[in-house]
Amino acid sequence: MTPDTPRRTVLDFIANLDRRFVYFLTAVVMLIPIVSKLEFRPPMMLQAEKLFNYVEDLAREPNKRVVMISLDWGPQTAPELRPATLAFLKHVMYRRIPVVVLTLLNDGRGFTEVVPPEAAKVVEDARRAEGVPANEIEVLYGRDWINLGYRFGFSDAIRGMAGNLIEYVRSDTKRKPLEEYEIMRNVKGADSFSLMVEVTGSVGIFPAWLQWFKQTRTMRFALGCTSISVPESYTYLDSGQLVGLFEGITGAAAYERLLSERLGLSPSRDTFQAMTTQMFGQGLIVLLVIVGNVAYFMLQRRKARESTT
Amino acid sequence: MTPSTKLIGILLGGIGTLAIYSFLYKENRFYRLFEHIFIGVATGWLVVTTFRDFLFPKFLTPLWERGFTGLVFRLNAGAFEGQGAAGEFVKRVADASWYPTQYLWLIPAMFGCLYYTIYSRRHNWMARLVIGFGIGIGGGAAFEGFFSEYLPQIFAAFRPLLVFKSGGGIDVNLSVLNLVITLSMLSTMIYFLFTIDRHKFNLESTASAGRLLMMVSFGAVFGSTVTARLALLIERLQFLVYKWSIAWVDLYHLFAGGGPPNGV
Repeated sequence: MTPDTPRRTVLDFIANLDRRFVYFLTAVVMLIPIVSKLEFRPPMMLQAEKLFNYVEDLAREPNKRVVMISLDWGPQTAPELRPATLAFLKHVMYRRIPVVVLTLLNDGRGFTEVVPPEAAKVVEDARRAEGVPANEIEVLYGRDWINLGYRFGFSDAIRGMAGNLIEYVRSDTKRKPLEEYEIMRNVKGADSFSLMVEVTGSVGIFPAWLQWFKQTRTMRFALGCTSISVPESYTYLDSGQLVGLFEGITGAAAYERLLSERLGLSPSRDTFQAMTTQMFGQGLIVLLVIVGNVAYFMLQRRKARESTT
Repeated sequence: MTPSTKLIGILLGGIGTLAIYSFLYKENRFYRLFEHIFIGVATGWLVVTTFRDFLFPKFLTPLWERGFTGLVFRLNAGAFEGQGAAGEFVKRVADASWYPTQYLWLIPAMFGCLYYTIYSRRHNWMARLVIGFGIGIGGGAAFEGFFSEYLPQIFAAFRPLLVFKSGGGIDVNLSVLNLVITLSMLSTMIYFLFTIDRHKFNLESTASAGRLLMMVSFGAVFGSTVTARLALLIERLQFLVYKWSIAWVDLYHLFAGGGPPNGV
């Protein structure tokens, strides 16, 4: 270093930090809980608890009406919405509330075939552990749940199903007429459902459900959303248009905690771990924002001092 | 021993993930290759599903089975007349599969096809008919949707500023909350009042408060966006650590002569 070259301080290093260093640091920090399999207990979320309690109320009804869940998410939002879907399906299946599964997104088709059986397996394992009689263990397709698959047409599909679901959809993913399934025996249109759960990261799908599946006194809505859409989802919650909300991974983790503590269902380790990892990532970003701002103001002060001398 | 499709899928998935993330270092050919693969696969998938899930089940199949089949049998029924069982069969099929109303589907289909006239300078005015029709339908539905979506929210915005507990006394928490919501809503609305002179009515500071509150809400949205992006990274990291790395071990054992130890 020549005597003319100014000495580089920590402040200069932070001010000229390569963005790639931030990416690398983020990946390293977030790998810590993943590699070490670190898990924190999720916090209790009020909105997830509201939905949980609503489902518990539905379970107490003598004639359990069908619940509908629309998996309007694809691989791009699966990390946040798959845990929410899984948690909700585990709950309704455990409580033997019949559930109709479908998707309005092309990308969601594969998930409608994978996630419900995964939830059913957890429920069956839990029943086995509880010593439930052998003939009552299985979560049966056609009686306890049904997959309507991908429904093309977005709001047209919602409108069609709201009027007469059997006539509009006609068959399930196995290409069997819906009338042949026990679960569809008392289903006609929107009024036949006790709860419609929309799980989506897309803007505009939930309002279409609200529009065509008119909220009646007996049919309510719940929403599972990504972290991005949480702020706008609170508006629906505040106005009473939703009975509960899954707020991204944290909401799903809170629901898993409720399932574990109140029903004894084994929680999804991936969900708990994802929430913990997210916490590490958020912590790092907050730290970087603070460090960056402090460094910026200190540099400004130094420049001002240097210009006066 | 050949690797399973699941194993190949996981290995390719991991390579694809690293290829896309390599863009964070700098633009490179590895990234470009996988970007183009993704676009190609997504487009192909969309075309196939449009045919499979919409055009065939909702349009072509009903038209063929309940329209054209009936027409063909009906046109040929005369040739089989008086030929015993064959004639009876043709007549029965012609009657059973004759649904002339199915042909009505051709009207909207042909109207929709007018959209393709957009490629012709001379005839592209016809495409505007289809676009106009779509906008009309969309506008009507949006108007109806406004009432179902926003009316409950507008009603919910009118809150009591003093909330009383059922046992008597004021619920301070809820009252303060309602006051904050009401003031936030009013100040934000005042910020968007451009048709009156704010200075004249002493509304400058209220409008500034509304602007500040909006900044806070944008910050919340930005924060939640960062959180969502982190979630995507978490899933990919979990995939790379728990599945992809194990898949390579399985592949090694597969070619070394043993079975995959992790069963991928």
